[in-house]
Amino acid sequence: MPREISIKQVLIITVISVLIVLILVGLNRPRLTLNVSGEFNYETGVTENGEPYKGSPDAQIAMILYSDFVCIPCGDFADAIEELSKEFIESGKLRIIFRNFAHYSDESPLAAQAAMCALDQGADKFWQYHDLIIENRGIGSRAYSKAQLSAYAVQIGLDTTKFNMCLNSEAKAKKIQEDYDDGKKVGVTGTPNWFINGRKYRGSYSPAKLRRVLNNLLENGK
Amino acid sequence: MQKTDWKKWLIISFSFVGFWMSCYLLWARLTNHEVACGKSINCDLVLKSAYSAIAGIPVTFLGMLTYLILLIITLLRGHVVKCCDANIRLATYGISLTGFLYSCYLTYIQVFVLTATCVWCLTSTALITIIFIITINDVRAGLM
Repeated sequence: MPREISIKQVLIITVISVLIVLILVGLNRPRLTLNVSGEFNYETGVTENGEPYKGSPDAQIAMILYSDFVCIPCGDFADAIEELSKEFIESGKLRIIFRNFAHYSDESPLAAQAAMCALDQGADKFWQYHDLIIENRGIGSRAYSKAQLSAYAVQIGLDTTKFNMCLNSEAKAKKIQEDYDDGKKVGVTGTPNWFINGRKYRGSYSPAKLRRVLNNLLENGK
Repeated sequence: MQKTDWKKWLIISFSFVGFWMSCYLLWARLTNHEVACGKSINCDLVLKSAYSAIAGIPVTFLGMLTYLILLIITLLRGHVVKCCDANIRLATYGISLTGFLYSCYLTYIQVFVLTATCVWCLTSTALITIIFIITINDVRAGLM
């Protein structure tokens, strides 16, 4: 083999490769637009059945969303909804009713339970906690350990004594299991699954695709 | 077969396998199909994670492109462009080094951030690692 490669050339190629990788790593960060501040420009509340919602109860479209905090597409979908919140939720056209369907991993039920414990301290707190734990999903191993979930509660100013008691409550854990069973009964097969006017939609939609679906519903009712 | 030939054909074979795998994963992603995956590992969680795209471009597409370029330039080596053999070897080294380093980063993300691993991703890491090791040897042999 002819010897025609210089050390200098190899070094230059190595440096260029490392730089390319550093740029790719820099660009490969999850970017979410979720609202972790807890300041919402739309109504939040709890339905008669104890489910958290956001948006006006008089909204033309009511979306029942089955979600799991560990499921990555669920986070993507929450992000898509947040991106469209000004257009549809703040304007009173859309209401999101949240239901747990904790099935993804062994951390799913505990994350769902923690969110419902936040709900006990107010619907605003639920949505703030919801956004915070989704925003931090996948950051560090065991992102939804009991200790980490309590730390998130401290971060948004929840009463931690109440929160921790709730997080250890067996009754609350049982409720998460019941929510899962109820979801299965109505045909939920995975997450995110969402229902509008009884029609089931599966998977995470991009903001553009979700906008098309919502506009179709507003204009044509289907 | 010359000594360098088997190395060349090893790079070609591994690049072809890597290209085929990336095509399959990209197809599954674009058509929303579930990826065939063992029960003990979670491909879906990894392949649909927030880390599975760079500025909206699926990582699988970049992988496909990497393996395709490696495949083409290695096939060209010693045939069409004999004059540029050293440059092709350097390019193969650079591309495989980039692929290897980025695969290491993705493996770190799988193990420590997502705490889920995907057999396809790990296989790709193994393929690019072997290609990279071969190209190091190749470049070392060609050093002046």
